[in-house]
Amino acid sequence: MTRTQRLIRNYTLYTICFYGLVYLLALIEHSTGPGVWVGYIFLFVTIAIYAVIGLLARTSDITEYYVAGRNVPAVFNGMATAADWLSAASFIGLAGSLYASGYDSLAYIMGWTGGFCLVAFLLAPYMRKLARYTLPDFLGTRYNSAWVRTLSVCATILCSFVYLVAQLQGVGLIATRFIGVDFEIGIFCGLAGILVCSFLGGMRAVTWTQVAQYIILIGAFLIPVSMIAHKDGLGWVPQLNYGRLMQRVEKLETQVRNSPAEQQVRDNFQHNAAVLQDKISRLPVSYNDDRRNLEQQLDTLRQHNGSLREIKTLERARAEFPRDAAAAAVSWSQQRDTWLARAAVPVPTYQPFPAVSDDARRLHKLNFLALMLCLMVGTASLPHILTRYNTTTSVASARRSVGWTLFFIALFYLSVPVLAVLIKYEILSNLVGQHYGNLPDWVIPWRNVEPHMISILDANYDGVVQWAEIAMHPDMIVLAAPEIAGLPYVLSGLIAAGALAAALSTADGLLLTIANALSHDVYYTMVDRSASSQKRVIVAKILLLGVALLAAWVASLNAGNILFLVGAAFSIAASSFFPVLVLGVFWKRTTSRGAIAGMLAGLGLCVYYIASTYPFITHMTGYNGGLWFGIEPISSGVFGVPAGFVTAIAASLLDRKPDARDLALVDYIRRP
Amino acid sequence: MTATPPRPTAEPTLDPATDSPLLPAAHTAIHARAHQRYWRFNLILIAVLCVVGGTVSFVLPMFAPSLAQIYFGGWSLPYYMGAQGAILIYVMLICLYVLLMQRADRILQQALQQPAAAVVKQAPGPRA
Repeated sequence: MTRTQRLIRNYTLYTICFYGLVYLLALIEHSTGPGVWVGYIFLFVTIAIYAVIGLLARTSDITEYYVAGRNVPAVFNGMATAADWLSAASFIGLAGSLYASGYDSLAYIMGWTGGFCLVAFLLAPYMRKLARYTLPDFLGTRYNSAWVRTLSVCATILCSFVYLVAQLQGVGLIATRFIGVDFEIGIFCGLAGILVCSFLGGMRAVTWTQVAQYIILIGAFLIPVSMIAHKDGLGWVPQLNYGRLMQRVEKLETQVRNSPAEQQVRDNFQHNAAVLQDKISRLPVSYNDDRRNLEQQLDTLRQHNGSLREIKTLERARAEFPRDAAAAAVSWSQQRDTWLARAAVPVPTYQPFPAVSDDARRLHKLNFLALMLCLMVGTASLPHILTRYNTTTSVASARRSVGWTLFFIALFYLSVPVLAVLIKYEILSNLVGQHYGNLPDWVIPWRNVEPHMISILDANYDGVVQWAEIAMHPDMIVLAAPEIAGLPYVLSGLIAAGALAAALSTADGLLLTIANALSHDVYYTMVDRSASSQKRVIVAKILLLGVALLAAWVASLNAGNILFLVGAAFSIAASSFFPVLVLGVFWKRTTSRGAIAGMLAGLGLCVYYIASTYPFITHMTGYNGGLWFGIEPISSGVFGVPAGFVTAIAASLLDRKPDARDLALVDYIRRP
Repeated sequence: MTATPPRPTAEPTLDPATDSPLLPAAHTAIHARAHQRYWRFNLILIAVLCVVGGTVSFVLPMFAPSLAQIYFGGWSLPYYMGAQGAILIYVMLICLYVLLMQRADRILQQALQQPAAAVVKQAPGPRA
């Protein structure tokens, strides 16, 4: 029996055992009723599985530690890369975002899958051919320059670290909801789950746990989708025929648009926004008035022995009240925009680029295309994805492996729009039109999670739920999908396990990428070239532990706005890596000075644009540069990537011609 | 252990001390031409596939508003193309690239082997 056959046999056995366990739990739940224990079993069993695999794959050999011995078969590397790629944001967030914003979110679906075409055509085969350990190692060798290496290490850390923190926060959210521990404790549990995979065995252990994690996460997504669709009469493979359901949803959406009660609610929200607008225009007087009012209310309540609950609510309102008039302007504008958004007439899911005027539509379309471009190029430049192709056996195998990666990712992404439509149908037909007296059971637990995932309030006091009265956080769509559709609780547990697998696998890959860039490219190449391979592995492990603890600490601060930074990571990776990677292989004339200039220009422009246009940062620094052509800060890569290309080309042409060593190296990279 | 890990192929490898490639001594004009043909084929293939992929991902959404009223099987055409069609096309593009490049690899190997066997013995051997 060959190694590949043995691997296939083991993973088939594992798959059967795991889904057998799920089936068994479903049977137990059927006879004894749902309970919290389901969540515990899923989370602990899966983490135990990863720990066992991590332990079995422990190693202290340097090639095994950095690149899994370069002998992972293409299919398995494809699966591992798919798990590496599918992050908490993809698993939890994407379906919700499609649910909430329809056509707009297709930019993510197309961008995140199309990027792999670029990986296959332009990057993976050549990275594998040069057979280095990390992305900075590849660039440093190609350009024969310590500066290129250093810049690459900086850019790698910059875009991977925020991404890592976001994964850990995802783990915290899942743990809070499903096993009811504190956010911080959840994060440190997740950290343990990540470290058991990567600490002992580096890339080797991460690869084999990622394969196991992929098997869990894909089942956790596809099984509920099939079951919900079957319940709605679409059969078990809704990916092929959910168009029928889309038409039913469209009809319901038209009803919502035209119903007078819905219009009432929307008018009501419009009024709320107008009141806030009025207050904003009367700042700072309105701020002082509001503050005084609040304190007076609190005083009267205390003097007249108001109920404890009312006092608590008011005290909380006072604690959350903006610090000064400037802060009030910001927070009130945000509230006003939220009301305005909720007051807007809902548009059909399929409608591309809804806008009030032609100009606005053009801008909307431009931003859609810009975002898609950034996500595509960014996907092709993410260090933790590209290093994965170093673990394949040959150039041809690296190419095949990208194909498998896209295949496994496509299985997931093809089902995401289906789930979004299924849930929309479920909400429109089962929640809208209900009386407030008998709201479905699933609403209550999600209402009580902090921060609130769903709020339903009777805005026009008619006792009936209207579409506009429901405000759902997009992140709850996937996690709550089985409950919303009335499936057994065991499937909620399975989805949580899948989300956890998605977050942990991505976090593993990112952690390893950061730590390896530090240990190989900084410690070994720049500090101690004579270190023995044993010492290098030990240093790599210590750095891994350090980076992991730092990331967990940052994540436990739970600072907001991290999600924006994750989106921005794509632009940052695209601007700093894509031009030099592509030019390095496809244009022989690129010199090391050209590469340095290109990376600096791309990264610099991209970071400058984000810093000067993203509201959160402009409020801190007080400097606002204004948008260029109306492009949102998340798509800053559309400026950074061309800047990187142009600068790298210009600087190379001004520089001396590359020497024989560089030319021979490019020839070498290009040969299969 | 050296910086370069062991490779299963008999191809030229990097010199661990200088990180520069050790190219084969016998590098005949025929070999150079075979490599050139291989690389040109690769470039043309990439260009064609990128144009197809680019059209699907960028040109189609540009005309999405005017295509939105075309329906099939319940889907609006631009929505379907974004949600499923584009992904399926990307998968096909990569499959095509992998298959055609494997064929090109084989042709290159044959071209490298024949004259090498006939002219000089030092040429790199076939792939492992």
